[in-house]
Amino acid sequence: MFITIDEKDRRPIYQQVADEIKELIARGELSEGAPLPPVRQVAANLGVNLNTIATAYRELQREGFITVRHGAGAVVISTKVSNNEQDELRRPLRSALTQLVLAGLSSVEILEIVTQELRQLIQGGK
Amino acid sequence: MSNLMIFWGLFDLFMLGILLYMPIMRKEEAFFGTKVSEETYSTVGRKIHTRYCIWLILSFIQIQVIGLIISFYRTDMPYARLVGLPIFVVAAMIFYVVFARQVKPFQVIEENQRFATSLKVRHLSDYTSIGLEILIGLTIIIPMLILIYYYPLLPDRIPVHWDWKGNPDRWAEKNFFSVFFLPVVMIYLQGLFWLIKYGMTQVKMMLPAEHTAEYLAAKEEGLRVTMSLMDQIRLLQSILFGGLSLNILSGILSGGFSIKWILGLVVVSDMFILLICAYNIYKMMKIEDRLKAIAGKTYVQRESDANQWYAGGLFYYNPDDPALFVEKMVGYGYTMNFANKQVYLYIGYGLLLPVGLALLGILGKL
Repeated sequence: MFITIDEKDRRPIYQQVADEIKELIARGELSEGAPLPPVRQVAANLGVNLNTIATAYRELQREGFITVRHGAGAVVISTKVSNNEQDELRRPLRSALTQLVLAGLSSVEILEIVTQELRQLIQGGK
Repeated sequence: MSNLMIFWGLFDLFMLGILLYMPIMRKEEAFFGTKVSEETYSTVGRKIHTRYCIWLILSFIQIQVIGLIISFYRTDMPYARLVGLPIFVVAAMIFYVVFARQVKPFQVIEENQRFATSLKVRHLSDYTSIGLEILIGLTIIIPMLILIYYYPLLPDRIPVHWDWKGNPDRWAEKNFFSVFFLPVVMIYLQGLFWLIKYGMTQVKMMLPAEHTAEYLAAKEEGLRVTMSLMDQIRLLQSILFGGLSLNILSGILSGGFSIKWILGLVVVSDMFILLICAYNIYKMMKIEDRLKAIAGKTYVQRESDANQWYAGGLFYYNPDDPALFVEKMVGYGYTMNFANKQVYLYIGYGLLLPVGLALLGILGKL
């Protein structure tokens, strides 16, 4: 169970870290009650600033996935998105699809990509 | 006495071997603590290492010969020979740093490295065996209970030091410190080991973004080997100290244990420590071989950290790195980031005993 960051990725590092952790939660590799390593340790391993990881943890806390208790560290408290508003959930999908359409892919190709990614996400966990 | 001489000679040779091998332990990945190209390593590098070896062996022979001469002509100074080892280690370090400076210009830096991190939380309890802790606890408590039992029977003046033939040559007044000194030191040392083990659970593990799972498995195993090595040393130490602390009873227990038995204990347990260290180094080498087979290289170095290692990769000082314990650049195992403020806690604890003893000595309590 590990996460990777990529300097060439356009997303900011804190976003990459938060997204990777969310992916592990989605795959079921991180379940409810699972502890996360201290900010200091993750920052050292990845060679990034302490604040970057702290921001990623805060982001996850804001979205209701983890809780950061002083002294006890971060713990996964929910494996579901707390915000269930359909429109809210659809927005990132819509922007991703826009990107694919603008890239000149046909509907069939886009559907194939979506199916592939979804399968990978679900089958990724054991 | 002659057995001990052979033992110390072997010990010195073991140290020489380690020091000769140290710069090439990680081959071109950390040659004298610097990453060089494979070509540099096999041409210029080989010459530099040969020169280093010649200097080291010559100074080793010189120090050994002086030690032997002293031990033949001054039989009243049996400890003089032992000073040779620290002198040799200091000399070797100086040579090492001098040669590391010759290697530095050949440094290569890899660009575009991507790193990963494990999200597994390591707890100290994962690296603790209850059975072993009970055993260590017994080797501390039992001698203490025996000493408490015999305390009223001890004479006012008790032996605290023995010469090579087993005759007491230093005496002390009977008090808490002179009787329970070794068990107290043992508890203190166990505390130091616990502190280090705790710090090591959060060690910085450098993982490349490729072959991450295999690397992680190998590095986790390396950590486990290091932790169990510390446990084994802890156990041998407590057996040794427990045995030695009972030494002061040898005068009042008729037909009890003799000093020969105690000296044997020292030698055997030290031999054991050496063997265990050698075995663990072997295990770590196997792990590195496995990494090399999987990923084609054994060591990943973050380019931004490469120049924060000093004295040929022996000393790490990086204020931008939040880690306290980091993987060693040269050799196996872990070292500390001396820019981390928590280092003071470890140094402070480490100095507690020597400073405390010095203060007690000045106050005349010992």
